Amino acid sequence: MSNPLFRDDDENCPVCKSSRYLNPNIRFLMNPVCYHKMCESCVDRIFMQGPAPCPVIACGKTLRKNKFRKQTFEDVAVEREVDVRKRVALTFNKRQDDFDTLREYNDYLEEVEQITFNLVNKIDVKETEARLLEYETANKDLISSNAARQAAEMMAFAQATEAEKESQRLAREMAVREREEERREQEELKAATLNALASGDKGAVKVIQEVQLKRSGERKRRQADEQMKLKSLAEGRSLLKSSLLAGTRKRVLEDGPFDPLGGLSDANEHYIVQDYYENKWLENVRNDTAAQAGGYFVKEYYRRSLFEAFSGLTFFVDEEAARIEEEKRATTYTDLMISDAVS
Amino acid sequence: MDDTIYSTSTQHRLFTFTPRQLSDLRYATNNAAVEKITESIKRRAAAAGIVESEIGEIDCPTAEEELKLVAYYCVKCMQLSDHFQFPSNVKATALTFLHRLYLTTSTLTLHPKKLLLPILYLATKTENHYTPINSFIETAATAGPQVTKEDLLDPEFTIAMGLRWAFQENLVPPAAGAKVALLELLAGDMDRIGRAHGEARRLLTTTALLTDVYFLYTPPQISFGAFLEADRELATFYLDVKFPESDLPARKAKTKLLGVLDEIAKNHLSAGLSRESKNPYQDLLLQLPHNGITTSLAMAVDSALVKEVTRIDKKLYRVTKRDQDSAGKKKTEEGNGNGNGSQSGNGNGNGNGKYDEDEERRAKKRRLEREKAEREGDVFGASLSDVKTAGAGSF
Repeated sequence: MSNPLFRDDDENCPVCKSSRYLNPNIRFLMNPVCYHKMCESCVDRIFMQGPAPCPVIACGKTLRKNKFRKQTFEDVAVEREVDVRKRVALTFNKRQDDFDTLREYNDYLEEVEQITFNLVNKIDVKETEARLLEYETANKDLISSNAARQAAEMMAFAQATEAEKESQRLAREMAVREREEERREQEELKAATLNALASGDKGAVKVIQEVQLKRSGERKRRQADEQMKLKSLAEGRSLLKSSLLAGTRKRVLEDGPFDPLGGLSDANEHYIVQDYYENKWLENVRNDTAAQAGGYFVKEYYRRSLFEAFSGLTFFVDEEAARIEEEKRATTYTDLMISDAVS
Repeated sequence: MDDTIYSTSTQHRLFTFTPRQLSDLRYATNNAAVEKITESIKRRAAAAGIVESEIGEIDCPTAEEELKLVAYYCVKCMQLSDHFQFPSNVKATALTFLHRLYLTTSTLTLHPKKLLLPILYLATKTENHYTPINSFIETAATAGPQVTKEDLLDPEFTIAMGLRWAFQENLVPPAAGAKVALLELLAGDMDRIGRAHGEARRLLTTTALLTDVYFLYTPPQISFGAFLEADRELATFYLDVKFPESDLPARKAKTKLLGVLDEIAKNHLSAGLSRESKNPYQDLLLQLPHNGITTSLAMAVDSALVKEVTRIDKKLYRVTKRDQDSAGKKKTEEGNGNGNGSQSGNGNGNGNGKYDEDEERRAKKRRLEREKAEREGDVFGASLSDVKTAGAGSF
């Protein structure tokens, strides 16, 4: 099997019964149609002439040689599940930014998982396959464009890693060159100084050292510039790439500025509070200094009374009940919408 | 904005229904209570060793009968409130509490008679109408019922749960105060406005509190409905001012609103309603005269109605009594005379005459307590204080 640590020496081919004990180089293959394993020589022998039925008793599915491959996972069930998931993922390749709301995306994910689960556990295989096929035909364009997008992303990612590596290599080379140059300069300086000292010219030594200092400063600046250029080049490239990728599907938000209250205003629909209402029994309070000093304002009384007289006037219970009913159904609508799209 | 704020109120969230929902809820409450009590009676009978076939029919009040009973006690509550001379807001709150409580609680579980005074007292507290408890008890005594502080305060928790802790409500101000404020907006015939307001107020503090309008409509609609019933011309004129013809949405809202107000006025508040008039809510269990329910104080004194309510009350008493008593006892109390009641063994030795009267009374109390504990299967025995007195008595 695939795991060399747990290699079973008694493992044998179910078709020709040759075992690993007799043939240590035996390789087992299986076909993702029926997942029956057999040894390589059996595969060659049986399927050389073209498609043939599976030799395992009571299987008899028609297999082709080119579909045979090595088993990746020890457990056939896992192997099969991975295959199914791969296949479903090829068709259902929408992403979160294809959906307007998280809820829709989650519904979609649930739907996909339902299909996958059904296929893996062989529940209603026929219907599920039909659903899969229908979704595939219905969303052909989207699937292919999503696949292209995914491929582009993969390529971009590979390129980005490549570019990164390249720039690192360049930087390394530059650092080596720099060190070399520096060393050479030091040597030159040493030689020139020695020469000057040998000729006994003290002033010349000073001049040489100053010139050298200037030159090394200039070199350093140049190197920094170069490094900067390299860095910005790499950054710019990655930026450009990501913006290109993101730009393919970015939705334009058409709503206006953000409103924290969601359109709620504090204006009263049906009335405006006046400063004064002619009202006999409120006269007393209005003129009562004690009440006023205590913080009782007649206007607040008006405000409250009017609010209570109108709050809910045009709120109709039957309409609200209908709306709630509608909302209750709407939750199932979103669930249905996906399955409608699929089936 | 006004409507949005209203939609967040507890009244809207917990206690507003369509007629169908309200009726369904009442039936559901009755069903649940009947099931519970039947079960309980059967269990007790089985424990006392009575075979199922001998239990006999358990005659529980129907949802209709329960509603009649509650409606009758609502009238009683109103009269009580008038006796206390509480302001209309306290009265309205108390009645709303009663209505709301008996939406989800059956009279089989909690008898309304015991709750009238506690609810009234709770309403004074809710409405900030301070009444010292002692003076409340005194005033209650002048009307008849003798109550203690505990009688008033103990049921409060149960009531509050039945109300789902929603005490605050803005029912009354639109009925009483705001009405005036908005009428003042009209510069017109003050006399006429005064008359209309008086009539609307009368409707709102009597009939409206005995119907289901508070479950079915919003408070402003109710008060405008009463206004419409009081003076149709004036109310329509006022609405014309508020909803100008030129504005299409306003016109639409007005048409709809007028329909609703008409419903309130004609189907609920109108004085012309009687048992014989046409029922707009066929097959629905609402508090309407058509269902034999009092919606005015005048109707409450109708002897046929009182008779009907007394009958229901007796029926209710019999069922609850059966549930409380042990199976054997109920047969003798009902006086059916079919002597197959297997007496639960309570032939314990009574006091042997040596004790004085006081001692004898204590012994009797102990025995009753023991029996009660046996019935209820109280595994932890009587409370500590009782055990103490029992011990003292035996020495």
